[in-house]
Amino acid sequence: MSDANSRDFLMAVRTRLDAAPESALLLSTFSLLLLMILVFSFTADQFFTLAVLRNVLTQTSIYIILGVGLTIVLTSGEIDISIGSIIGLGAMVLAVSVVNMGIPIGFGLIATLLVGVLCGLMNGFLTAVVRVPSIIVTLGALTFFRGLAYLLGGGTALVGFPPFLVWIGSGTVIGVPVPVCLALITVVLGQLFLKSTRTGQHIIAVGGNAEAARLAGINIRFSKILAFVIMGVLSAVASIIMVARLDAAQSVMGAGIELQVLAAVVLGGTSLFGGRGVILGSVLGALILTILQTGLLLSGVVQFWQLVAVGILLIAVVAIRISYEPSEVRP
Amino acid sequence: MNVAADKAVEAKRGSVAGVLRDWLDGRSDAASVTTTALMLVALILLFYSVNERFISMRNIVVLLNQSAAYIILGVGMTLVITIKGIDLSIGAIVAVCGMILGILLVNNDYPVWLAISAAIAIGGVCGAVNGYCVASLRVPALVTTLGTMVLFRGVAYVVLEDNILFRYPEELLWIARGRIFGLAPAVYIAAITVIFGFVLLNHTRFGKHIIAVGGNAEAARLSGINIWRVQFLVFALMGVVSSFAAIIWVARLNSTQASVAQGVEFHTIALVVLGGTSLFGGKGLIVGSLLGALILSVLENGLAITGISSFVQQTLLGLIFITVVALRTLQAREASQADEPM
Amino acid sequence: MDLRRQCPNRYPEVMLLSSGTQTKTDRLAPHAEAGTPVLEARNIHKNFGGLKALDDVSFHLNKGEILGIVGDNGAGKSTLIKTVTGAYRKTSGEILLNGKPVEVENTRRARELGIETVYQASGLVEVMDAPSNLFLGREMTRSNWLGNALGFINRRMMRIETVELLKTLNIEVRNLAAPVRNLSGGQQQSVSVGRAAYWQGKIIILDEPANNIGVDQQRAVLELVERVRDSQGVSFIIISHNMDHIFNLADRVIVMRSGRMVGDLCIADTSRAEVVGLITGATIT
Repeated sequence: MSDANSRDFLMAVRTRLDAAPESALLLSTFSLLLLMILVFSFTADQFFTLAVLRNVLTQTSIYIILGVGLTIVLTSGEIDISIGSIIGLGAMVLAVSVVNMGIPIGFGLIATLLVGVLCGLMNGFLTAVVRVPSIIVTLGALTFFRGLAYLLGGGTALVGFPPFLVWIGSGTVIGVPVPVCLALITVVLGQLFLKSTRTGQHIIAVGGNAEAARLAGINIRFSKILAFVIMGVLSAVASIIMVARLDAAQSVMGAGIELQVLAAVVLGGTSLFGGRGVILGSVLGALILTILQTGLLLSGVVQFWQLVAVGILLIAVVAIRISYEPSEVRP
Repeated sequence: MNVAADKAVEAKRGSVAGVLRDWLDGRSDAASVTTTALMLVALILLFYSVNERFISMRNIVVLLNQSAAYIILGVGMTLVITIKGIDLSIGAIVAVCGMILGILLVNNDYPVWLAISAAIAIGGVCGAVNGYCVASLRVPALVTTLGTMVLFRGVAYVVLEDNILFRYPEELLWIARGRIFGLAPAVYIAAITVIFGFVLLNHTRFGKHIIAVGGNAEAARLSGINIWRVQFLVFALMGVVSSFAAIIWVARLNSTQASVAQGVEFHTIALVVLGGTSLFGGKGLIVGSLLGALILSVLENGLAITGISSFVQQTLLGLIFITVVALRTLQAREASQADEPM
Repeated sequence: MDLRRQCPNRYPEVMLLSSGTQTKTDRLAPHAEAGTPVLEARNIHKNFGGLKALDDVSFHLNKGEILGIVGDNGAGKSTLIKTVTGAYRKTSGEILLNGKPVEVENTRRARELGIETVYQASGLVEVMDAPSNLFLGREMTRSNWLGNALGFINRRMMRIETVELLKTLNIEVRNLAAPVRNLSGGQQQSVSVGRAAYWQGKIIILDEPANNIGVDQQRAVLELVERVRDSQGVSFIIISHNMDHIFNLADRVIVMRSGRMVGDLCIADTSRAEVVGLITGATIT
């Protein structure tokens, strides 16, 4: 009797896991995060102070916002490594329009977001319509957008932003820092979009099996371009937050951030081959990265060892995960 | 489920179309290389018209010397991309090899041959780590090398911190500064690497295996090719040639620091793609990559000679790259008649 | 000279009960309509660059009929189907539905016209669950304003519909919420066929329906085809390598060789040897 019961129970668990491979991924990422917090709470005394936590969250919010965008792009089967340069360009557009030309901050923000849209459109067009592989498109765009940022703003830092922007960087809404609020909104919207709307489903289908999606009459071009545009807009949002936090804008802003974000998203369980996007996983991945860095710093580890730790962690996590996947799914 | 059998059937089914495609492919290789060569000639003429000194013995020597490291990395990256891989860690491998050279030659007084051997060995080990992760652990190449990029760079930083090591012995500097028949030894190293890469890819069994693994891994596996061995060796080889580039780099700059060669991986991927190698694997053009490396050097050198600001240079580089690749993709699509509506 | 062939639907039990000719007229009577085929392709050409993939192919499909298409690898079977269903653009030729010329620009148009296709191995998104695949590209949205404006999908309804459909067609799927790659090949194929039936295709085209799957599951899929034909009066085109399947299931078979149609035979008056001969080109036609 009890034997049959336990077998039923095991069956039920298997069915659950089968049905929700993403929950399993999320669970493993979450355990890793908990483990890390546990370790650092022993090695670093100040780790659990409010100031540190708030700092970690604010710092992570940029990674989270970008992570949501990159998750959507990866889900569509593409990649975007130009996001750091979009941030640089966005920061320069914001600074030049608001600081140098004296345009009201509202219009400056709109202009920045528009630049994000345009950058995304360019990447999306070249990828989906001209059909250049996205890693190549965004590799070129990485240089191009950064060049434009330098052309716009030169090499020096621009300062003197209006109070509203400073509020975005350091203000709070009922005790929660504004960047964290923005990150939360992005996560909720991103999750709803990807999992609960037709367009989101189409993006998953396009990334999961482009041929099947095409034969089912899904507009592949639209889905891919949309993914890149979302990425562009979120990069622009990230650039606004970065400028606001520093109260200064520079052309080099965001350089190299694409690799950090990619690492966070991959840690979170999103597939590099499309069709599987775990937005909540990317949030956890971003938290793991920042906590690892902050924790090592507070534990008194020499700064450079963090790089070594991040590299090993990334490969180890993905290797373990892949060893658990059914063999036919492996690349 | 009998996926394997189905794949085999599919491969067989393509036999008629396959012959035609092979023929077209064979022609398209030559076409790709010709286009790249024409691009190079056009660029050279353009810069010559701007500044006559561009085509001078002196500038050509400088240019070839500058491009040697790119060419060497390009050969390795061509092989990696041909097996449908990618290697983002080469800049970091260059840093680690530079670090070894610095420790052995600047901080200590080991003989130069020993330091060079050690650098090559370390490069090979770094490449082998990549190869192991990709081939054995099955971690996608992009993730593996993203991880090792941070990892190797971290090692270089941990050892060197923010120090800059300089004053290398003359024997090492000779590699970039000496002259054999008017050209630096580095250029000959690059030439030998190109010839080696070309013969390896086009005229050996191993080369055929590389192309097969990149073109259709499943078919390659079914026909008895050891995919593990091919992937591992190609990544290890990439590590070894990265150490060549590191040696040339250090010799040219006469200095090492942990941040050396940052971003070189992107330039290398760009030049390989400019040369016509397919990112979808199975098609590698060593000669194209050689031309791509020259184009990159000509652009950098030529734009500098015109006196345009470095900001404009960067923008132009990006724009030219995107345009060329877009045109090449359109051309390739026309050739393959991929006209299914989307 | 009318080359359009109409063959008796092959119902072994019916055939046993009545004479051959009787069956023929009986079966054709309800939907003969002066013999207008549901689908007709005239003089289809398709070139890939210099390669003639289809060279002047004409065929037709009668209502309620199961038409087999056979041929060697690269003979043009799949190309023919993809051309008819808008997955490829034809170079020249004409396609008629119920006697009316139609332009099938893309797969979406084909589905609007009632032509559903089950592709070999590539029709499903493996990472998505069965309901998502069933409604792929035609997801149900919530009926409130949010659903309308933003396209919020209605997972519950999609799931209910899926359960209903699978029950009707007697398809067993162990776990509806699992990605379809966790299902067996036969179950995947059944989901594909079910999808075509659900969307009330008047014509369902199956490209190698039994490839890749076990013998038991093959039988299940073939039975499903017959069930759908009987219950919904759908016409089928089946591409297959497997002569057993063709001879067990189809009413008529057309044979392709090197991009041309070389035979159009009633299963009742042909033999395997003849069809194989046509496929390989061993017999003179």
